[in-house]
Amino acid sequence: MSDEIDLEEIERRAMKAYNEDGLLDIFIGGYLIFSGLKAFIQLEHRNILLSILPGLGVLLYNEVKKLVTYPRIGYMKLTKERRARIARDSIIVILIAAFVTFTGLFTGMGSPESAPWGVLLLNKFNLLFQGGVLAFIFFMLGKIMGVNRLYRYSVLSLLVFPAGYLYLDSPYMVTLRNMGTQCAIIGVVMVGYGVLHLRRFIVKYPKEA
Amino acid sequence: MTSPSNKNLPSLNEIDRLIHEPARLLIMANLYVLEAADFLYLMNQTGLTFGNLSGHMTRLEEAGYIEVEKSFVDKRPNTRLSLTDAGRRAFEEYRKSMRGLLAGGV
Repeated sequence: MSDEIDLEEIERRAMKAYNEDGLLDIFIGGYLIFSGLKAFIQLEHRNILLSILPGLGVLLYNEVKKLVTYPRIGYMKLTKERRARIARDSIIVILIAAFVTFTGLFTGMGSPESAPWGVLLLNKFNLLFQGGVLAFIFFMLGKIMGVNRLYRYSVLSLLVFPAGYLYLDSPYMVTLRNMGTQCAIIGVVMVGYGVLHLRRFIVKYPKEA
Repeated sequence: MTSPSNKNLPSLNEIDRLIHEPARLLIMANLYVLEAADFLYLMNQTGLTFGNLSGHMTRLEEAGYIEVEKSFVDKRPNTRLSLTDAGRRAFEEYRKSMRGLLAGGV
């Protein structure tokens, strides 16, 4: 019987239950919308705002979790080791993605025609490259956190970014506006999907009187 | 049940019967992968009723396998459970014994 106790499965179920509320989608989507829109609006200190936003988001996320999730499905805390592993792996993924993105952007931006063919190719197909990076982030976060929904956003990123070649004004140029538009579209889908999940979650688990 | 050739394997008497009961096994397994969980969470994850979970919780607490902490969260009573070191060891021992027993083809 002991071999039938699948502890990994129990842990996976715990993570799934914890993220069933759709709040993760809403918060990540919200961040993508904001970071997408910042390419279009002139905000004072927008880069500072954008860099402190994830921290504020985490604080707000925890507060909303206390209000919405815990009273409905209860509270659980993963082991210290598991929490540390999730944090460490997530940071590694985001650092890799940030490094690749910035390297790609700076290599691709304003490259003259005489630039090496690799740079020109990256310049031409930068949307594919950016979509790939975002897809990688979602895929890895889905794997690390055990949230299967994130795999869908990985596929969505691979679809939305290349679709930009059909409707963006200058898709073959590396611009923050192109990236911002595509990020905002994915963000809107995520927030919408998250709200649907949240609605379903609230109906499924009514708050005890 | 154990044949003479299996005398090196753990016998059924060595199995911790307190943990062996399916509902308590489920509670222990859920708490084993977590640092702590509250009563409502365990009810949802195990599918046990309030009364059932409460009864098993008391038995595990009496055995020193779990620690129960009662408090108020937003003016509501909240019961938080976690495995004690003894509980963690007992669960690991139980898994080991069962694995040995099953490997012996009982």
